[in-house]
Amino acid sequence: MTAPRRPWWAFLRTRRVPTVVIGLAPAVILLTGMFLLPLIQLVTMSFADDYRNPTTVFTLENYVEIFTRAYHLESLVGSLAVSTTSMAAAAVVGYPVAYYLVHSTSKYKSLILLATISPLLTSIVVRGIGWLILLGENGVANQVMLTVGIIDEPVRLLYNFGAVIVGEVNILLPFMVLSIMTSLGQIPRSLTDNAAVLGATASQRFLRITLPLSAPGLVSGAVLVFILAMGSYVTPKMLGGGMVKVVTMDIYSRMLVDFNWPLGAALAVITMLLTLSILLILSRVQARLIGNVRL
Amino acid sequence: MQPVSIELRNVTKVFGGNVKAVDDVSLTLEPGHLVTLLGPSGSGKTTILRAIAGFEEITSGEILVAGNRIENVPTHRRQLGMVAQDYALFPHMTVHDNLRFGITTSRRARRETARISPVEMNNRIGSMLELVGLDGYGSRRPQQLSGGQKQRVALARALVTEPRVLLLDEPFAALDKHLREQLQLEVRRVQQQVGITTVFVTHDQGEALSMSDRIAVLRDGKVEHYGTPSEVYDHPLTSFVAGFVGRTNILHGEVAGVRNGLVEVGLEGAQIDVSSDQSGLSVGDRISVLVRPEQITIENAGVPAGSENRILGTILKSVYFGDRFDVTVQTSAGVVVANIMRRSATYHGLEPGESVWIAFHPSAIALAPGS
Amino acid sequence: MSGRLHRKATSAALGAYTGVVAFFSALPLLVLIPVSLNSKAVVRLPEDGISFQWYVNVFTSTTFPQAFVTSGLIALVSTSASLAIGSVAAWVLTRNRFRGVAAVEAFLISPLLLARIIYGVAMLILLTQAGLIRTLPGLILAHIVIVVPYVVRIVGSTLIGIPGSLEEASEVLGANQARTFLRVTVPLLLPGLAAAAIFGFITSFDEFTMSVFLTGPRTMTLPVEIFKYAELVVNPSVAAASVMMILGTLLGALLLEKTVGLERVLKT
Repeated sequence: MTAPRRPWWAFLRTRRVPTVVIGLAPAVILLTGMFLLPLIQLVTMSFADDYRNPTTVFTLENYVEIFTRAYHLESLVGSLAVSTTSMAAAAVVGYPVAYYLVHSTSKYKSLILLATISPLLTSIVVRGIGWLILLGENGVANQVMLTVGIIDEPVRLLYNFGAVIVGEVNILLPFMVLSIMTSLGQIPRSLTDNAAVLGATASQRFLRITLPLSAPGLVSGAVLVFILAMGSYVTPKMLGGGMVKVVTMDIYSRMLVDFNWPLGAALAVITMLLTLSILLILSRVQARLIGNVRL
Repeated sequence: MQPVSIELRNVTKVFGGNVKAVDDVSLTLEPGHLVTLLGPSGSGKTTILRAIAGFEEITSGEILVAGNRIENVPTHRRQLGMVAQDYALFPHMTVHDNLRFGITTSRRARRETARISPVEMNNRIGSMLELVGLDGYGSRRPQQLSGGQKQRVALARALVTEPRVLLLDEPFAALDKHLREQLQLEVRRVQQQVGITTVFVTHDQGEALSMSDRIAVLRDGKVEHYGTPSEVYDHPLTSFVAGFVGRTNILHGEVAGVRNGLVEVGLEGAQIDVSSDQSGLSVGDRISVLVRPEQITIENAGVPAGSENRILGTILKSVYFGDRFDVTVQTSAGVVVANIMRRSATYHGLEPGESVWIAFHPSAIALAPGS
Repeated sequence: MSGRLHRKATSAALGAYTGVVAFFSALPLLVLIPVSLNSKAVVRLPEDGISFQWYVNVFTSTTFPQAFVTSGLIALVSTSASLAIGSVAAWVLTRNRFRGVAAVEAFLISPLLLARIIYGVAMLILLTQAGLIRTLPGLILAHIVIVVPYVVRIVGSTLIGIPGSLEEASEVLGANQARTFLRVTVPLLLPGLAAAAIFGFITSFDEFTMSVFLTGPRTMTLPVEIFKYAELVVNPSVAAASVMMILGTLLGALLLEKTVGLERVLKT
């Protein structure tokens, strides 16, 4: 006679369940109340017309405003422009750094690694101030260049798109470098060694083996940089000085200056959805790459 | 402490997806016995052990220790001792503290509130280390110990809590041959000295035969044979058991006749007599004849017949092992491997192509249901 | 051989390039030090001698010290709470692979995927309704939410290196699950806990993008305070305060390097 089938909820009868529940309860309760709930309220607020009574009226006017007012659309486009440029720049700048750090045996490696990831260990505000001091008209860069004689008058380095990109790449480079390093580190040395035995030159080995196999890391680094850049506020604000419009500044003004919370919430939701959809698209690309690259 | 019995009643364990790891197993382990659960991977032996320990919940059935059901008792209150395959010694504690941890937590689990003085604690730990031959190793850390030493510490830690039952999960798997044999004797000695009922899991039939009071041979979640080592070896109940415990030649045939204490079996091209009191066999039943290689002797074709069963055959090959030859002979009834011990240094072995008789005594055979 | 030379040249070029990039990565931080020591009230490298007046100024004439204390307090409390909540959760998740456990784990890690500004706006709404806006408890709760994912990740990955057989052995010896966790698991988890603690502390202490929505005049955190000050004026005082903030986090990073090794933490 066969034993009776065990129902799916039978695991609840095991003795491990109380521990599981007690162990997870604090974290789950905290995140439900302080993470899930606020997000739900955010969405609710985006459909409201009065921030004091967000649930009395349901309206789409906030979303309509976002898509009809040029200002908001420009902010969104601005964010996309900053994010994609930062992503590309970080990839180009960061790849050789990652390559070097993975293959180097220099004793300075730790120091260089520390310097490269220092942005992760300091506040973005401090970074922003550092750049302001460096690039300002009365700042250090101009001071040095004037003293050395490269220029005769202080140059306007700040408050433009370029300055924002420099600031963003400075902060986000570590994420790109670490991601590529992980991917590069997983490529067995034997692959390139074998290729050398088979007659491949150094550049062939790099282009045909190393680069393709590190693509997953490159893409996931790019995705990360993109998402973080979309959400950055301090750098565009401090280094852009109002000349570079991004959606985060728009949200900030709506929430804390105008007190137009419904509109701010709608902007936040749009940003979130935009980031999410781009994330999904890039994830598909990533999955395809990883699939081709199974080591 | 009085040794206790362990009883498994209709124990079944189904993993998600209808994988029956343990299929209606019923076993009784006598107090003080070392019982080995022997079988290949996937036979369910480890699952049974882990169920007794409380790490796996059984789907149905009962597990009793000293007559009390324990399926709903949490692991830490079952009063067990266990030696895991990787010894599981706490790396952040010394050997002494590993044992002390066992003593204090087991006492707490049993609600023993009487205080133990540091002197008495040290004495208990010390005498246990002496018992396993590691006197003076108390201040070492697990990382400083060899594999064999770790194993002995694990055993000491398990026993120092004065458990009712000892569980050993393939404890010698990671050791080299020489160390294994040494430790097998040691563990058996300690087990008998302490007199604790022990469940021992292994896939090594040599270990099982040398250490056990009883062996349960498992296959696909079922017990195929539960008996003493000699019962399992000399009179295996199924051809799987015969093949798993030691080597066996299996010849297929039909029952030709049943006489007093003898069964005539017709094999392909030969008829042999088997000493067996197996009732329930009738003429025409398909049957498997199981003969161990060491029970077979090889005689030259010219030698006259004796009282043994004889089948004519041709030597296919003869492999030299130093102390013995493994001779493979092609007979009409099938291919047979014989294990011939060298009786003297001048014994040269047998040549392929030679015509020989293979011979074996009627009582050196086991019968199993045929296929 | 030209191959060898070629390789050495490429290697040297790569090294030089990386050095330059690393230098520029650290430059915004490095430049703060000399500027903060300028004897004149200009954000330039000192030309007429150095002075510590700005550091003194930070303590005497600004509200930065107050903000420092607030930030430190929030970081301490939220990191401790996150460690307790997160490590127990990570332990339970790693040792019990039921169906649905993976979903819970993903849920606990999800705050990492949300832009802090979005979360800040959402919390602004919630905390205002809950009456906790611009209060320390409100800030602490928000900080715990963003630190817990790091704890769960780091502790979870450390836990994989601790064999479950140790905990099973502990239970067989008579310890219940709670005692096993405290006496066996936690001592072996210390490196992971230390890494999570330092990482969490730095994350909380440096946090701006979310906190700017939740702070008020009486609950200013240091990053927000420095930002607001810098909106008005960028002078050596601000540079000095920034340097002090960097020193704090540098200490934390060195601790990380000494106890666990930076690369291992960042691999999680």
